[in-house]
Amino acid sequence: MQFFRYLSRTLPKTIFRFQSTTASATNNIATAKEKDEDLIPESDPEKPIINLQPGGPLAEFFDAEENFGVSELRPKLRPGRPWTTEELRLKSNTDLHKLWYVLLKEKNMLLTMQHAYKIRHKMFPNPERLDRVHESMENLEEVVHERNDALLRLETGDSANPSERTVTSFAGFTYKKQAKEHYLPFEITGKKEYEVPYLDEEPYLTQKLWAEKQHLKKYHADDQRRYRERFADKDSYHHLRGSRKFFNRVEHLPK
Amino acid sequence: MTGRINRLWQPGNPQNRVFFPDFWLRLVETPSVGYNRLPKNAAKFEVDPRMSRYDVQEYLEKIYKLPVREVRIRNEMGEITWNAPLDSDKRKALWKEDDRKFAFVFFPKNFTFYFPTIFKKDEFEDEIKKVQKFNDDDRTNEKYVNRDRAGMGEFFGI
Repeated sequence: MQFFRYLSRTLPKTIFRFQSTTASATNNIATAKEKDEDLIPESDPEKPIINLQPGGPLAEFFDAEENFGVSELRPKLRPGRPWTTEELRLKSNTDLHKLWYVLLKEKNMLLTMQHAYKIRHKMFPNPERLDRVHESMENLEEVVHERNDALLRLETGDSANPSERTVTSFAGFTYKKQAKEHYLPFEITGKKEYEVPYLDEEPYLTQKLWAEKQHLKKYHADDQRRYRERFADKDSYHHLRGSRKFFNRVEHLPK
Repeated sequence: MTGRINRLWQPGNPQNRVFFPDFWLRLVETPSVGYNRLPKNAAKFEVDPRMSRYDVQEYLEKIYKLPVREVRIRNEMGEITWNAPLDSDKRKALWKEDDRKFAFVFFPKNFTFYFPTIFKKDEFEDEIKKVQKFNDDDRTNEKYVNRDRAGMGEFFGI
């Protein structure tokens, strides 16, 4: 496990100071580093591969032994907060790449433990660990995307954001969709899912009715607001008429 | 890999590489007896449904540095709750669980893996037993008080 030895040398304290992952992950990494040098051989097929940690060679999928069967983690072993984008922006690309895998392994470990508790109908201790790891990973992706985007804009002028297309649904609504790559052009396949300028009869009517309904909703909401404001300070309940809801004459339409 | 754009590969393109894999993997227990028992050089994982068997193999080899010999995949469809389960013609589905993908990973013959016992000590159960033991002293009398009733009222706990 060259990876972990190198990791601990290049990232002395910042990663393991309760910020990145749970304390158990840090414990696992520390113990793995020690066991590594003693036990894991150069792959001798006759000799059996032994490892004294719970789970043996797959120990990385399990939490520290002191957390087994526990309903809540000890205060010392409780996880810290997730990585913030500000903290991650200070790290180099290599460090971020390594951190991603640390977080990924932690996530897999937590998922394994959660499942073991779930099938026995027990409460998984400190489930917020999963949310924190997920948030750290999201922040990491955001930072990497920022750097990638900046680089691409400098070199090509295009952004790193996935290209979007506006698509019209069967009911006439338009929404944004991520563009996909295709092997064959649309002239051959006959499929093209983009925005359509002219709608058929039914979607056209649907859109007209929808727009009318949205307009009326807004109108009634404003009316209610004005009504409330009008009587906010006064006690008078005699002037309880709101604006018109039904229009019989063109002259009565709102200006 | 933000945006997670699915890039198509065509002959002549370089190898498609993933630098920040999004895939998750969890170890799953298997029975120690019966026809579903796995050999000691095998393990069962539940994997992200988007993974292929080669993805699983690469994942374990490169990230966890495990000597994987073979991976076999099984897909399990999620359970559906029907409004009228026995009427197979006109029933309607109300809810469907997610589909799951399991990977049976086989390692070389000298590899041993046993799923560890995670629940040796059960704090919750221990606490319940403590309370019960504490209350036992108050309950000793109940055993002797109605001895002369020849079992009458036993059903009601008297």
